[in-house]
Amino acid sequence: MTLTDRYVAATLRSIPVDKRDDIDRELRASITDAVDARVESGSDPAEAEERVLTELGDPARLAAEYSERPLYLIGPELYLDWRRLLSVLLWIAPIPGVVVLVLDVLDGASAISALGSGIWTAGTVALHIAFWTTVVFAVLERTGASVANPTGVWTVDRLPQVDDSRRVPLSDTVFTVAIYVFLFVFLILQRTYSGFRSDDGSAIAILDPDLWSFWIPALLVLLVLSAVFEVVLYAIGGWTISMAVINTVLSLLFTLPVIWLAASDELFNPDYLVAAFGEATDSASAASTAVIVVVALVAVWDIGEGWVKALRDRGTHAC
Amino acid sequence: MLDPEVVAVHGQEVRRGSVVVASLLMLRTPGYGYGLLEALADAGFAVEANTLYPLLRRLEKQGLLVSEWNTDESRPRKFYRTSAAGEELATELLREWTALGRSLEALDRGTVPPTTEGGAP
Repeated sequence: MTLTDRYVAATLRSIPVDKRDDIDRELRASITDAVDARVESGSDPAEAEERVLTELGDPARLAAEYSERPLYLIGPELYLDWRRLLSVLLWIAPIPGVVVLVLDVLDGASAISALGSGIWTAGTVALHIAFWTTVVFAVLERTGASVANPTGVWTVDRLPQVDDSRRVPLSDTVFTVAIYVFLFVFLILQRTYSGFRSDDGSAIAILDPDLWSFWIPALLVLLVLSAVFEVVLYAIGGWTISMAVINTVLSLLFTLPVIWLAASDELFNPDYLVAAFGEATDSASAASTAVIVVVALVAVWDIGEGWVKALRDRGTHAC
Repeated sequence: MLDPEVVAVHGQEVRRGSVVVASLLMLRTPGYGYGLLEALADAGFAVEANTLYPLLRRLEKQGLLVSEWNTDESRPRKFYRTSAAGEELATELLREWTALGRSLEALDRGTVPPTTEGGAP
């Protein structure tokens, strides 16, 4: 296998299959032409090949040029939105950190270890926020740009209106993501930080431990997806019908199981109810009713908000 | 004293875009990748191979060039030729380029009064 073979193979690797044959033949012919020209003017063939390939440069870059792929993660169109959103979202990270720190102190841990786990929690949350926000924007950079800008020509009609109510306010995004982070942290921490301990000293979880076999992990995944959804919504800049549909699905996927679990008294840990309220029957129905009412109201609000804004924006857009 | 790096950067900015015009004008007679690269270099348009080859395909995709594989010779080569749309664009771009050149010369000679409208007297 010659250097040229290896170079062409490396270039073709990341080029769409249907274009490979043509680029393969053309690139090979161009390289051979350039090598021959050098040999004719007196170069050693091996040296000439090496020089030609060196001048062509990194095959990955050449492949990106051929397939018109961006050579950056987030381009200038999205960079400012990405930075703005990320820098605000990161302010959420210290909150669960402080919560863990306080709970550790209340639990009798030493100041050093409480501080350590607080910082570790804040760091982990910050890492997740940064990672997922960046992933969403990088994906939008590669897919969304062509959707948002199908004609390719910018006109003044596309200028964002400064007080445009269609624009999702940053505060909405931050508030909603903060709630998801809180719920996420709560689901994790309720196992160990309920404030009650059984006789053998182990912590009593607030939620039924059986739920860890499926429902709690599922809800954790849904919370992450919901947070990602909020970031996408902010990046897109407004509600659309399809975003309202996705929002409805996410909301129902979270709400219906929670209501069902609460209604069938499978949500709370009976041991916790006994420890906290002295008995498990009346308190269970009271706690479950409260959860059902709150969760249902939030869901109605959340789903409704999406549809109202999506339909209203479609109206203004049509005018 | 002029910083050579600054000169190189600005020079590149000025030349950017000239390669498209030059390629469209040159490919009125069909040509292939490496041949065009050499011809452009001889005509004073220094362009890197890794810029030119993808550019040719992009112009073809835009309908400004048409291509055909020539398999008559021992080495099959993809020949590009400027299409009618490409010809139209080349004429348009060349007119713009010439107009820019004239305007710059006029500025240089001082035959165009400096714009002071709305500015300091």
